[in-house]
Amino acid sequence: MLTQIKPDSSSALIDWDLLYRYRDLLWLWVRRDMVAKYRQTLLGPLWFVFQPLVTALIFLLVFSKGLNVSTDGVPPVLFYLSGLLVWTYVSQTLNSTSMTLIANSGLFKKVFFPRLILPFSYSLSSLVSVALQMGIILTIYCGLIMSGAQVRPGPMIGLFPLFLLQMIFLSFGLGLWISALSVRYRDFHHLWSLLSPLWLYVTPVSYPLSAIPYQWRWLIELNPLTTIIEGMRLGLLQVGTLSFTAWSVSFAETLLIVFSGIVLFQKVERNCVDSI
Amino acid sequence: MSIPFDSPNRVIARGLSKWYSVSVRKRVSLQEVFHEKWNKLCRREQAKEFLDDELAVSAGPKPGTLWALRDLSFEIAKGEVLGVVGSNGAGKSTLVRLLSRLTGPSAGEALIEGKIASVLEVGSGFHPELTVRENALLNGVFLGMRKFEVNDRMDAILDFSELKRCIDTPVKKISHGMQYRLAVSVALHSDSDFTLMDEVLEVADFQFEEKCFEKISQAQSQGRSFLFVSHNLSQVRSICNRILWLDQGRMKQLGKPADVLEAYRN
Repeated sequence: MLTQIKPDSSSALIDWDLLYRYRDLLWLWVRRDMVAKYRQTLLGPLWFVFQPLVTALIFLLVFSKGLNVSTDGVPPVLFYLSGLLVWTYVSQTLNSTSMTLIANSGLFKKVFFPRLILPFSYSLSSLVSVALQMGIILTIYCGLIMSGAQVRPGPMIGLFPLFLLQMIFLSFGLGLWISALSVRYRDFHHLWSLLSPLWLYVTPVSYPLSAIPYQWRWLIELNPLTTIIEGMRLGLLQVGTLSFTAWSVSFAETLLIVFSGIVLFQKVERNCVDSI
Repeated sequence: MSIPFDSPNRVIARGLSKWYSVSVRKRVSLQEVFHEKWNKLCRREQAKEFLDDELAVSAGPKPGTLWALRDLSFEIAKGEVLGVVGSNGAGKSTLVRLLSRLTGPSAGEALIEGKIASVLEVGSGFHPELTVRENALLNGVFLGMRKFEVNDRMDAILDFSELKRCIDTPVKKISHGMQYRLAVSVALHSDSDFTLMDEVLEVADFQFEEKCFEKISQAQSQGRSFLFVSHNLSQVRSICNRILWLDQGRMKQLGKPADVLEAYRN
């Protein structure tokens, strides 16, 4: 094994060999992240259950009861929770990933390892809350079916893992972008905290895509989260608007964001210890 | 440049240089950048970036830069321990950071054969909430080992650091000295071929120092190489095969410990 140390040898490509040798670090860091998050809390990961549940109730009062926004004819709580499943994950992952380079600067100055492992492990450790939310959704689902509600999963449920993967990679890529940009200018972190609530409003979490007038739908469909949420709802609840074109566009966007994010992150990461 | 298969060298550095930008006004926010652009647009006079007279001696290749390390070429043989001495700001830590891959050089290159492990500061990478055993595992993995490899050596590591009694204690509850022994033990028990330590060993108490020296000479006989940065000259003299003296980023002298240390002392 030969290590070459040269100026600007930071390549845009991923050093798969190095990543593979450090694969154990990924799991150890996921574990470390969870321990750090939940030790000295009474309820631990349960906190991530309350957040979407409370938000779903607020949506129920404001959008469903108050503003009479349609939920495509399915029980509103289930409708909101399925959207929040994606939204909670994305915002949580972005919050932790976007601070990767700044929050761990002390570590980066002292310890060498393939840096990409850190943001990726944050994306994985946020999956705990997805699992918990899936649990709630299934519980409510079963309760509703037993009480005679006409709601059943559809054949699109087979594509559920694919949408889940797209969600993971999309937030990973966006996190890399924000993380790399905020090393140079901390403004980007503040900008993100400003944009993230706005992003929620152009994402069909509290309303279905079908509630948007037809000529404006393409605008919302440009948001890659739209097809992920609509696709998941199609599988879980058999409601949703998903065209193949819209999904291809969102898939291409995701790929673009991930690859450009990796390139940018690797570029910044190499010499960021000199500036943070 | 490459290291031939049967070469006696573990590390080859050629013209290794690093300069840092030291512009007094650091641009940290977009607002300041816009402000600067606006000033330029209006042809307002720029605040002149000043450099201390003292700093100007080592002014780098571009305005507003400083040499931290300048045109350094040397080799470290397999099984050799190289000591690095020099006053504060001589570039010792920069050298260690370059060879540890924590930052890239501005010019020049270096080749290292085998696995690299570095301990730059005791306890870096430790998480206070995790236990001694968990932290040893995490630290070993940071040094490039697989989990099972660390676990195989766990007994030896805990024996060496004399921390057997508190394997399940969170690291935040053990003393600094104990954390220090743990970090050094993990590094010395790693399977790395080239180990760098930046002002780490000199904090050891007498007994632990003896143990470390023994372990290091044992590792040397297996062809493992070391680089130590230290201010403890008697320690450097007793374990290093050769000493590199850095002064203002340049190599002042490289040779036998006795010769270099005598010149360095004067």
